[in-house]
Formats: sequence, C-alpha cells, structure tokens
Amino acid sequence: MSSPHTTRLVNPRLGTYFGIFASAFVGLFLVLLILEQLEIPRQHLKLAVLLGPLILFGGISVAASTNNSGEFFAAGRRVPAVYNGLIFAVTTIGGIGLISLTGLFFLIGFDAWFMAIGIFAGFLIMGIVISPYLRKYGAYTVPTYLSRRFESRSLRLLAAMLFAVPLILLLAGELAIAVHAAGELTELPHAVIVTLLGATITVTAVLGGMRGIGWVGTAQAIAALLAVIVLAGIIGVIMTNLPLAQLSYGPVLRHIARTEEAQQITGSLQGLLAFTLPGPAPETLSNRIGAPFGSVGATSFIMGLLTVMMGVAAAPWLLPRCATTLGVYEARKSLGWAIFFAGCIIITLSALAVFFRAIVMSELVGRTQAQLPSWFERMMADGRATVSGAGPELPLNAFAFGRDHVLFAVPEAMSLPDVAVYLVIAGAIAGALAAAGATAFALAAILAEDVYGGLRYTTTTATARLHTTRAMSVIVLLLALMFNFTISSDPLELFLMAIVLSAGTAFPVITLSIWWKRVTTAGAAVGMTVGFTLATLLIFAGKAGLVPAPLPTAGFTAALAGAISIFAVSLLTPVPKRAAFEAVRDMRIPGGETVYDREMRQLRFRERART
Amino acid sequence: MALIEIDERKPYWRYTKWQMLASVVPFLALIIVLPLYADELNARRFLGFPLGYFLAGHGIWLIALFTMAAFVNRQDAIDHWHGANEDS
Repeated sequence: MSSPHTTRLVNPRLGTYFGIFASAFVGLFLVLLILEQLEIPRQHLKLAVLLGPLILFGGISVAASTNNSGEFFAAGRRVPAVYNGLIFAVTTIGGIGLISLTGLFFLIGFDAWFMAIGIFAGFLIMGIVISPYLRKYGAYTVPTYLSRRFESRSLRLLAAMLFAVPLILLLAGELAIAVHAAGELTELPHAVIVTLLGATITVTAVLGGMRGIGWVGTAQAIAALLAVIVLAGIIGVIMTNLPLAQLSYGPVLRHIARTEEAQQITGSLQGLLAFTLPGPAPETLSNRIGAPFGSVGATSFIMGLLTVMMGVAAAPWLLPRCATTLGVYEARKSLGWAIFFAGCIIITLSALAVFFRAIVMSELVGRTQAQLPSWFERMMADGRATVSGAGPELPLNAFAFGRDHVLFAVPEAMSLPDVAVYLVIAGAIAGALAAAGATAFALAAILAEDVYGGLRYTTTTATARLHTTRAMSVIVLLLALMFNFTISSDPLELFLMAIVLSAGTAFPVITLSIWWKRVTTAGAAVGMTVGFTLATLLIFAGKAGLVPAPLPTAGFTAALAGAISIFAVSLLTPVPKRAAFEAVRDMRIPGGETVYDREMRQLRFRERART
Repeated sequence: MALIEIDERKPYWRYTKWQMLASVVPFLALIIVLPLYADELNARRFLGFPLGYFLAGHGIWLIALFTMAAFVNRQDAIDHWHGANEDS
C-alpha cells in the first residue's frame, strides 16, 4: 500500500499530459489521412510522420529535463505502477520485438511463442524474485547494487564491464531496427536518419536522465501501443467483423490450418535441439502456422523460453527502472502491469501475423505469377519478398518474405490507406527509441557511476555525478552511431545475444544475492565470470557450427554454470561479515527507508563532518 | 530502519519464501510442460482457436497475470501481518 505521503508525490496531471499526447498523435494521423485523400505528395506525408512524433518526443524531453540527482537517476522515485509497467513492456519488446517478432509469428508460427512466453515469465520472475528487493535497495545501477551488497569495489568494476556487453549489443540492435523502420518511411540518406534518431535519444538522456527516459518512454510506449492496437482493430473488423482481433483470430487460424492440410503442407517435426530462426533476408514459408516444433525443437523451445525468462528478469537495462517506483508494493504491481501490456502487444502482433498469413493463402497461393496482386509485386520490386517457380498453381513454399517487412506489409496487403502503413512504422520507431533510450541511459549510468565513479577514491558531488552521466550518454550514443555506420548485423540476433549474456551473467548473481545470504564476494565474482565466459564461448561455438541451438544452449548452460559456481565458491570461502547479513535482512523488509538513499545521506553527513 | 519486530523477521521471511515458491514453481512447471503437449491439445477448440495454440499464447499470459496479481495481494497481506509493510 502506498502511504498518503507517497500518494501526494505523484503528479496528478500525468493522465492529462499523456491524454494530450495520445490525442496529438492520433490527430496527426487523422490530418495526414485527410491530406492523403487530398493527394498531397507522399514525401511530405512521410516526412511529417517521421518528424511529427520526434518533435513531440523532443518537447516532452525538454519538459522532463532536470538538474536534481534524485530525479535524474531514479525519476524522483515516484513513477506510478501503471506507467512503469507500460515502460517495462515496451522497453523489453522494443522495435525488435514489434518488427521481428511479427515476422517470426508469420514465418515460423507457433515456435515464435518461445520468445513471448519468455518475456511474460521474465516479468513474473522479476516481479516476485528480484524487483521488490532491488527497489528497497534503491541503487541506480545493477553494479552499484552488487558493490554495496558485497562491499567490493572490484566486484563493481567487474560487473560494470560484463554488463556493458549485452547493453552495447542491444543498443546496436535497437538502433539498427529503428533505422530500418525509418528507412521504410523516407528516402532520406542513412546518415541523416541515424543522426536524427541518435539525436532524439541523446537529448532525452542528457536533459532528463531516467526521468526523461521514463516520461518520453511512456509517450513512445503509447505511440507503439496505439499503432498496433488500432491497426489490429481495423483489420479485425474487416476479416472477422469484430474489433477485438486478439480474441477473434482463432477461426482465421483454423481456416489457414485447413488450407494447409488441403495443400498437403505437413511441416516436418524438427529434432529436439533444432533452432532455425529466419534471418532478415526473405525466407520461404514451409511450416504450418499453428503446429509446434517445425523450426524450433521441443528442447530448444523450453531452453529458449527459460533463457529469455532469465535474461529479461535480470536485464541490466530494465532493472534500474525498479528503483523509480513509489515503493516496494508499487514495484511488484508495476511488473503485473508490465505483463498486462506486454501480453496486449504480443498477442496483437500474433493476430496481425495470422491475418497476413490468411491473406497470403487466399491471394497468393494457388495463383500463377501473372495473377499476383499489386501489393506483392511492390514487395518483390523492393526486395522485401520473392517468388520462385512458374507452375500454373504456386504452392505456399514458393513464396519468401523478409522477416522485418511483415509488420509493414499487413496494412498494405489489406489495401488500407498509406497512412495506416506510416502509423505502424511510426509505432515501431517509437518502440525502438524507447528501448534504445533505456539501454543507452543504463549503459551511460554504469560507465559514469560504476566505472568512472568506481575508480575514484574520493566521493563526488551530486552535480558532478549528474554531469558525468550526461557526458557518458553523449559518448555512448556517439559510439552506437559509429557502430551502426560500420557494422551491419541482424537486430534479432543482437537482441537474443544480449538476452543470453544477461541470463548467463546477471541472473544467477542477482537472484542468489537476494535469496541466499551466504553468497560471498568471491562467489559472486566467479559466478559472473563463469556465466559470461561460457555464454560467450557457446555463442561463438554456435556461430562456428560446433554447438546445436547455440543461443538457448548458451543462455541455459551459462546460467546453470554461473549458479553452481556461486554455490561452490561461496561454500569454499569464509562466511561473509555480520554487516553483510544485516544489509541483506534490511533489503528483505519492504518497510523503512530506501537503503541506498540512507547510505548516501550518511555519506554526505560524514563528508560534511570531515570538511 | 524497518519497524518490524526482531522476532518477526524469521517468520516473515519464511512466509515470504513459501509465497515466492508457491507462485513461481507451478508457473514454471506449466510453461515447461504445456508447450510439449500443444500439438495434442490442438485437436480441441476453444473460442475458435486450436486449444494448444491458445493455451501457449493467451493462456500462459492470463495465468502469468493471475499469478502476479495473486502474489501482489498475498505478499502485501504477509507484509501487513508481520508489520513489515511500508505504512508501518
């Protein structure tokens, strides 16, 4: 329960502000819809779709700017559960989830659910096992929490270095998918798009820190949510006569299954350790959409969902958000909201994928090349889809679709106005920016607080910490932009690698540091190192073809090895000091002052007394 | 510091651990076992969906939502019972 005191801290106008934002976002698209009918040149509309939301996000960034360190690092610890949950959901799904997951649902059907189930389970584990305790501790970054929990400066540096790797991978992936989405919208040069998107994230992170990332993230989450829900509602009405597509696409799914059966598409059951996810290049449709284990084997499915679960639950880019809630009760509740919003988005994406598959079955399969509809010809001309074979009746597996183009192709195939396509692209860009912003700020805070601050032997003022983090935000974004210019990687693969490293490195140490008092500093350090090393080796071994199902195997094995190492080394090293036990006991009780705030207050008193 | 009585700390943590296990273990068992039987369950129908598909997607989501809501409610009751809540 939140006390009357904390309730007063919440801005009562938040609903009004975000209502205004949602109205402005919807209004922008309604105006564009009118302008499209008035045959305004498409380039102008596309530019308005790209710049309009970015200007709104920029405005919120300026409004959310702050120079108060509590606001900058923890959004004043007064973010209501529902907003926190919304940000959690959209930051986790991100642009990669919105775009690539829809493509996965379309191309491999049921097997894509391993990611979705992993995300739901990850939020559940985070909400029950991790987040209430990290909220009570209140540290701004995960390495800071570990360093204070184990009273070790070297552990802080080690954790900072290891956790930085998944953050860099995810930031690169989200930025790449944002650029891909913006590239679908505008013919602006790649460099201009990258700079524009990078500048938006930098302004948000530099001006407002966690506060800016939070409130701009809320606006971006609303934009992403509106884009997919509105589109699914419209298509749901067209295809099933019901606007609630999430619950009404069942008959469409069964109709597809019957057509697949008539076409004698059986879909072969893969081996237990098979793990064949489609890449960004067009891939043929050969699986039955509702049948399991056609691309991902049963063992890989389970290991994959457990890896995603552990990776999400201990994600270093998500956990700092736990410290922003009003209290421990709100931290638990916010993860409930996160499950709710994540489910709304993911089930909507699965509905869109099924609708698109139904369109493909009815408009493409069984036709000749000369009979293909214009929307598919446009996709072929842009390299987003291909068709092979020239028989009188083209079978399903003659068609190949680019995984990351499916979401944008749905409104096009339904012959909706172009603005509907732009709306989805704007939503996907917003989702990618929300995830990239949260990741960039988490990385900047780790570099500033734990690497730069952790190396110093003197304490710094709150203002200096704030400026260091701002400078690090700029450096991180510049590096991410350089990465984007020089290296081209599959965003989904980068996302899964980040998840694997998070599961292997962070999950065992964070969970055991809360639930087992006996964990020692050496145990934590060895556990993290073993988990990270094993995960990295298995990822590279998988790339070399030495390990089957590299990503699920790497995440699951590394987490297991990390946990065993922590147990073994902790039992072999001396019992921690009594003070460490007391700190853990304090963290486990929801009531009382936030541990980190109390420690900082005591540190300030000591500094003042010394000077 | 928290206002919980020293004597209450151990029972509070014991109840918290059991609450955590009671919430997490059945859910983990479900997400591991259910997808393995999805193909068999697909022969049945629910709301027009093949049942296996529906349970693996919508079903697990709804169960996660219910588990989390029940946990928040029960854990808050445990916090209040032992005087460990944030109001105290």
